[in-house]
Amino acid sequence: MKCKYDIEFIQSYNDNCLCKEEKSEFERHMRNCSKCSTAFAKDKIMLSYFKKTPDEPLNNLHKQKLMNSIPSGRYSGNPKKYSFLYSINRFYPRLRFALLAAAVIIIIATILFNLSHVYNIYNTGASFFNKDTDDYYNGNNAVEDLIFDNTSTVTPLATLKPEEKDDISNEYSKDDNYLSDEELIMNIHSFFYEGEEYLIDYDFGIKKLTQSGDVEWHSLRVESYYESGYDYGYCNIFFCDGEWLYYTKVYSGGGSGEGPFDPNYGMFGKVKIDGSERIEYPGIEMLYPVFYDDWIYYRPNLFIPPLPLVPTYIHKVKRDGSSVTQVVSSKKCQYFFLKDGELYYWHTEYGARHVNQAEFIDMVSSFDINTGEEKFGFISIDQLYEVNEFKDIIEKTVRYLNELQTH
Amino acid sequence: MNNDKDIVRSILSGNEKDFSLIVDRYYQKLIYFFFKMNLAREDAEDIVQEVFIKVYKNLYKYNEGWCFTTWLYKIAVNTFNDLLKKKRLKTTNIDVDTLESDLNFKDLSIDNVHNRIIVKTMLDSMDNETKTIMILRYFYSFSFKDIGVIVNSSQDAVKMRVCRERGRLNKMFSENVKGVRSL
Repeated sequence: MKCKYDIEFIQSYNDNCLCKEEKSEFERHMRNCSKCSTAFAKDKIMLSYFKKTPDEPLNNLHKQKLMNSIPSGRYSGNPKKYSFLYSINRFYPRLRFALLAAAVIIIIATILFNLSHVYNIYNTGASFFNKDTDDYYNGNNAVEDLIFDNTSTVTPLATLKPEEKDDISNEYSKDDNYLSDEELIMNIHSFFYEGEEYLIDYDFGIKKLTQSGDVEWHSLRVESYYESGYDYGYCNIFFCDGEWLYYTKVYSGGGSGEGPFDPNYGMFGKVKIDGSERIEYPGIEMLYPVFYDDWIYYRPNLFIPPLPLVPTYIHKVKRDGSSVTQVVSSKKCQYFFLKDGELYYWHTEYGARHVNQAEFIDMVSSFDINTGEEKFGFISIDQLYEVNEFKDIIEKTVRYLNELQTH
Repeated sequence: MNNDKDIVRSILSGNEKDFSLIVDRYYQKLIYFFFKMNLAREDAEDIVQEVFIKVYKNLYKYNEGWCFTTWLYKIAVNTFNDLLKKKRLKTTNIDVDTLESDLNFKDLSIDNVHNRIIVKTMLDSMDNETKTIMILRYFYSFSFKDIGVIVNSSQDAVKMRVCRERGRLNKMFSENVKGVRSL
């Protein structure tokens, strides 16, 4: 007779998990099936071993010794504290899910809240100078770039026809001694040192502007690209006070996504123009830095994971690297700029606002650089010339462009 | 106080002497647990002492939603595993070679010395976690769910493991068991 019972069934029998009919049927079967009866017996013996109380007697002396070894005073000394912790633990399982849910909501909300901000950062950067997409004429960004950068040359370029602009670029960018139009725009910030005029290079350092209009590298260079092999960033020299050059190295992300992340890549630093001394302050990465009253106002770099957790407020730091402070808590504050010696910040919705008085002033919030048509705001492009910082820069740029063309 | 939770509350409110009630209730059970895990008496006593000290220190972390016994055995099993990792414990194993000549059960009684040695040999063929599960299930009659909590596993996984282990042990030894016919 073929046996239909397997070991699991026999285990169920031993565990008393069968109904009365199944039990009696199996018992009848076992009388004639040696295989089942043997398996049953072995399982039974094993179980009885597990169930059997050990033979070894207990050592009462040890129990007494154990009681003496229990430290005392923990709970009698501070019953309120431990009773409180105990009552908290009672709710922990439910509390755990609530905390988890709250954390997820906060993270999602932070990401969403930051998205527009991040978008603005991208939208006001170098894209203005992207000739491939013709963003030279993107008025929406143009004003912002003009204001914060102090180096922009929107007007002179806009006065050139696109073909002329391309000609300049093609002719001069082939030679390392000359700046391409993009380089020119980014590097037009200059300073005078020992009677010579120098241009600040966005990436590497200083280029000397000679009488003939030639450009040569100054011996001082500030390296920008990191040597990790994966990650990269750029260096922006943004200010010269006649003795020191102030620069910031900004982390831009992993080149291949495989490189190690080092939060100390980014820094704020200063170097003497003669190269004799250099001081760097790791961890301070500046976007749109501007000097005002011995302070440098800047937006911390956002390209540091985890993105939503990085503060996106405007900070200020003293030029000696001390006392980093958050100055504007509004996320609508995009960057700072100087006008008539006063410090303003650009509000992403309402335009410019005085940093101390917190009053809005009339500024252009958007215009078409090609046609000069103002979309919002109250001042024209001509009025922007009245801002001293822009006037100097624009004049220098025009002069330099003319020199290049002459050359 | 018949309830473990009442005792815990009493201790936490400052009546530390009530901890002796917990020791009275669980000392013997824990000692037997480690005896069954084939620990020598000295090791078993040391580890039980360590378990009770841990229970005392962490009593405020106990959650009333849990069964106290389950929580206590979880601490015991974790302590046992920690000490095994640190190699401060040594389980005593039976020399299987000496039994190879006769692996047959003599009868159906576990009191038979020969049978007991055979079953001990079977136990030695188990890893410690499986042995723990089998002891918790058949000596202490824990539910599969509680065993899952103690050994950090799911209820179904524990159930499956017990079932497989019993099947494996059943196949492991000679099929010739004397005395079966007397059933």
